[in-house]
Amino acid sequence: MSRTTRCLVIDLSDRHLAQREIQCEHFGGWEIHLQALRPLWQQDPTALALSTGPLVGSGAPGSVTLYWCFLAGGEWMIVPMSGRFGAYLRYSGIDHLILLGRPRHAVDISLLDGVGKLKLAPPLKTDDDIFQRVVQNLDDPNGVVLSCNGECVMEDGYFKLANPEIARRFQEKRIRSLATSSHGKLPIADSDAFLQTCIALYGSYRSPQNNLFPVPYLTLCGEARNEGDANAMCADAKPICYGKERAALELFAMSLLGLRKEDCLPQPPIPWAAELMTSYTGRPWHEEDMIKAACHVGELMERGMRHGDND
Amino acid sequence: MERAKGGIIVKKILAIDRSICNGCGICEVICSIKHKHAACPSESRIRLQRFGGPLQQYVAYCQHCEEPICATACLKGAIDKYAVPGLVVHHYEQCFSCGACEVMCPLGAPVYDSDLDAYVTCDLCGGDPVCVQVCPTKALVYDFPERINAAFRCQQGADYFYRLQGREML
Repeated sequence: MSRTTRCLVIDLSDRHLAQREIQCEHFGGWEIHLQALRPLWQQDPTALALSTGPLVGSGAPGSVTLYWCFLAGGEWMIVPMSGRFGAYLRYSGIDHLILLGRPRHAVDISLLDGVGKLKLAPPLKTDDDIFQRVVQNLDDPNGVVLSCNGECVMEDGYFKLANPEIARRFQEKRIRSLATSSHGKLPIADSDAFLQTCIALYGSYRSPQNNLFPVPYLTLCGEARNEGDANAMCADAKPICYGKERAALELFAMSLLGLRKEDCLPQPPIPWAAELMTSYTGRPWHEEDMIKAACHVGELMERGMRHGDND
Repeated sequence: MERAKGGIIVKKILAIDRSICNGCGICEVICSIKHKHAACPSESRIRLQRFGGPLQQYVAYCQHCEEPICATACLKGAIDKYAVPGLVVHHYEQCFSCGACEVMCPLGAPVYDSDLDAYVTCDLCGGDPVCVQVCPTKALVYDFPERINAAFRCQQGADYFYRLQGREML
């Protein structure tokens, strides 16, 4: 069940970028935050981490979950986010993005096929649209752009992704935009089986009674600008503690995979998640494997990590 | 895929209702899984341009034109239009990747496939497009043109009626 993940660490204070591979005992994702990144948080409590699970970007229903992770008031915070940014991170070969330090001037960050580049952000006039300026300066506009307008983080200049808390952290780090584009791909071991599972899952949603509840594979309509509750994501920005109850572990295992559990999809969720993982990786995955991984990471979390220290 | 109507062959077409499309991009990913056995939206045969939000976003895919300009533009004559299935077909084994088809296509629908080292275009998955099967909002449809037009006219008429009544559509 081990997984090798690639992590891009950007130190904004000295503009140093470093890529490294991290071997995870289980799926990666949150496990990375709890183990491999602990020294980083001890070094810089303002570090902001974005992480993905193994199925993010694969096309399966709900496979969009990108986790923003940071320390706030000594507490470890996780904010789940949908959108295409996590998927494009993975297409460019990056599973986790870590932002350290703080630059002297505002910066635009672009990741083209996994290669990061930092540019000084030009000064803005009062009526400037950050997003339009970023797109004009992109080497390859075929990607996803996150921009911060001061109140929230927007994707592609339109879709509101994250709450004011994340926007504030963007501003603290003087990140004006974060763009990623990629021509890479995620290989799927048994693509025919994976496709059939996806079609069946989307088909179960597409029944008439589910017409009003889109499965959020990259679906952002509920988070579009001027719609919905501006603080809707705030409720998730709390330390999450999962017990050993089956339902909580199922939810935890799904989120470790990068899947969002949806009521409109077949229940229970673990069997079809195992089916997806089997066809995606080309080797058999069982429900027990996922529950075991969820328990492992749950135990790590229950030790109560504070300031990057789990003692 | 087609049927005779008064002696005229009517073919199903792939169409999108932009008012429903939410720009999720699942069509791109699923198309690439079907044709490239990997999630690779940059080489998908149906592509979403999402910048600017729902009012400006569009989905580009081959329209299988009656008189395809890509076929005229192809320097090797590797693109044919077959009347009976109604498909524009790229013979990729002859393609030398000059890109003339993509440049000339009004939608830029042909896409470079790095595995085949050739430009390819939508083949409608042999008559059962996977993008239609997974579209979460049912914005993509594959049907006969008159049915699609009728549904669209009904929707537009209903919207107009409700606007006249000063009521919002549910």
